[in-house]
Amino acid sequence: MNKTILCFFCFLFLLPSCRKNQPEKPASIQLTIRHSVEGNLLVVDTMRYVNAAGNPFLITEIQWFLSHLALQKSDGSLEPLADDEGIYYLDTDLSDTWTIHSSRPINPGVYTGLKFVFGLNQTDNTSGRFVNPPESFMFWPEQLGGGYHYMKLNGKWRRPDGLIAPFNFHLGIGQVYDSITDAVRFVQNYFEVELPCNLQLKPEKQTSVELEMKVEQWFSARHPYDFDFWGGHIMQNQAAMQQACENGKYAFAIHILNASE
Amino acid sequence: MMNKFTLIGLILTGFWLTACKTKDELPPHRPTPYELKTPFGFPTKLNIPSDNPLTEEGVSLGRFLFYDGRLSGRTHPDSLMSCSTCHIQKNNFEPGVDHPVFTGGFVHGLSGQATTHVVLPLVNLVWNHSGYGWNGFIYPGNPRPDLQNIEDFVRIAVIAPDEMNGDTLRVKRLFQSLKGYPELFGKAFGSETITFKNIERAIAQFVRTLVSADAPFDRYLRGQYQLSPSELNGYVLFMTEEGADCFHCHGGGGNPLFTTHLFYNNGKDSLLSPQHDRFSVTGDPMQRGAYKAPGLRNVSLSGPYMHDGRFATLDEVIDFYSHHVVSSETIDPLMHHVLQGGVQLTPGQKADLKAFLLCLHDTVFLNNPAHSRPEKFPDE
Ligand code: HEC
Ligand code: HEC
Ligand SMILES: [Cu+2]
Repeated sequence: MNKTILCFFCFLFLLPSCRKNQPEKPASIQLTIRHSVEGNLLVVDTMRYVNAAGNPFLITEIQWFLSHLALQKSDGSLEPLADDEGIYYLDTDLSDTWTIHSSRPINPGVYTGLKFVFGLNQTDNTSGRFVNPPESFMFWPEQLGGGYHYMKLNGKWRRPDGLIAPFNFHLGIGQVYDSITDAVRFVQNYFEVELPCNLQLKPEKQTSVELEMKVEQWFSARHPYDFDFWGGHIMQNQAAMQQACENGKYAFAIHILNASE
Repeated sequence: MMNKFTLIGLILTGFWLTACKTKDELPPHRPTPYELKTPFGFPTKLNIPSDNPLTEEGVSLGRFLFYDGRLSGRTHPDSLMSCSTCHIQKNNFEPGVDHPVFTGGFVHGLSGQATTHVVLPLVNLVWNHSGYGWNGFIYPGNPRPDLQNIEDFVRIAVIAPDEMNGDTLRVKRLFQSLKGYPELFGKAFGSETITFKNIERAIAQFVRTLVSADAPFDRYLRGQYQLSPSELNGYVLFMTEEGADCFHCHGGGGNPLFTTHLFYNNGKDSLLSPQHDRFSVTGDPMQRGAYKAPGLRNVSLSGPYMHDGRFATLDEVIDFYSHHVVSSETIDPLMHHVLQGGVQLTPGQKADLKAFLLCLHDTVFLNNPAHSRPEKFPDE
């Protein structure tokens, strides 16, 4: 018994000595995703929202990918939250997807921004990459460019004639069609988001940050997005997807919940 | 370089091991693990409960039980019923619309009582994590411990008045008395004393091995088959919003299960008051009229279609999605062609879509001898 304790102490001694050339212990970060409409937590399934174009609408669910999540230093250098592509699937129906933890040691220090890719970039967005649900259910048809939906935002809106129409606000690789029906070219619609912030990460401390998706911005930030004009489906409508993505760049905000004490 | 301590340790362990051995007469129970290969493009995560891993012995016992009419607990030729009475291999483990007894494919139990819904196929169920049954009332993580997985479907099938109308105790005793069976239970589960739990386990294991992954479409994905122009056009229709728009719920190239196993109201009725819909399971009013989207493998054999069997043919189903979709408060947003009544396919497009659906016909699966009725039962 005594010997065990002794060994244990020896071991403890050895541990820090291995880290000679890494003076500071790493920090960690936890990101919570919050979907909001006009500042309030998203409430699904009730026709309580009106967009910039004046369409009353409701949302049933939002399923989306973000990737290459990283903290940014003032010199522009990046500290990724994961060692791989850092692809995260988020789903308003699955609460366990709402929290992201850094999966690699994060260098303590001062960071001036959070950066990520909305959706999947061209290199990452390859068909067959995800075989398991729920990610696999996001697949984007091969004929439309393949890979995965960046986002499925589903809901319904009330048309001027009073009828309720469903919409699938689905974003992914876009297509340019010839005069007939064949796609002649594909368009990468993913985009990068940079959110300035002032974050000081301390060694051995976890910092909590909230990433907010301001859902109404998808329909308003740059172009008032009119469901009566664009209709219920846009996977084969690059003009609509382009406007949507231009709006989407402004749909995110970051809030520091607890700076590490 | 063994030191003294290690040596003593080893000797002691040796002693201890043999000491155990002498107490126990039976050799340790080590069934052979059954290797379930993941077909190309299929998910790698399987829904197998940790207390019932697949074994060669379990699966082969399960196959006997699946086909043995005495699972009803009775031996009189008129009161035999097994899983295979309703789940027939050559019909995609469904009864088939041309069934001699179950007219139109609508089944009833030994008591004569009709089932609540039509039969579901037993295909690729090991990849379903969201719920078994049309409304998914059996699912892993259910607060009800007796409604978790395929094992529970076995018990339900044996007891239910609209199925075997049996009694688990009688079934267990009957199989205990049948020559050959106790030995097989011993091999599969380490005890020749038959329990109903082990009957459930064996059949569930067999059902989990029913894998269909060799249809022309699978070979197309693997680069071994060329779709005809009509089939290819049907595939494009299936996979596009401007086309027939089936893929969001029924999968496709990126999801070769041809279902998400999720629950949707696909717009069949405007008034929704069914008793056994998804709402009856979750209590979520938005799921009124929602049912599980079934997988479309071997779909030409899956009639009558929908949970209530309202469509007898695939053509009727395609016509429905084309022109007869109706709105209701809970219609799924993925049915976004509803205000036009559907996806409005032309006769040519309907024919192409059907041609594509027929590419999901897997004759290898339908004739796989490993899934078929055993030539002889253990006591024969
Ligand atoms: C009398 C006909 C009948 C018999 C016999 C029968 N079943 Fe079924 N089975 C059905 C029906 C009907 C359904 C659909 C149930 C529902 O959801 O309402 C079904 C559904 C199932 C399902 C769910 C499939 C899915 O995709 O969710 C499984 C698993 C199943 N049966 C297994 C069995 C097993 C194992 C046996 C034998 C122990 C058996 N059944 C015997 C009629 C039968
Ligand atoms: C919104 C999701 C959704 C879409 C889109 C959809 N389906 Fe379905 N499908 C379902 C659901 C849910 C059921 C079961 C409904 C029920 O039983 O009441 C079903 C049932 C079926 C069935 C009957 C299967 C059986 O074994 O009884 C077929 C065939 C089918 N769908 C084909 C298609 C085709 C072809 C398309 C495209 C034209 C399509 N579906 C589009 C959800 C969908
Ligand atoms: Cu889509």
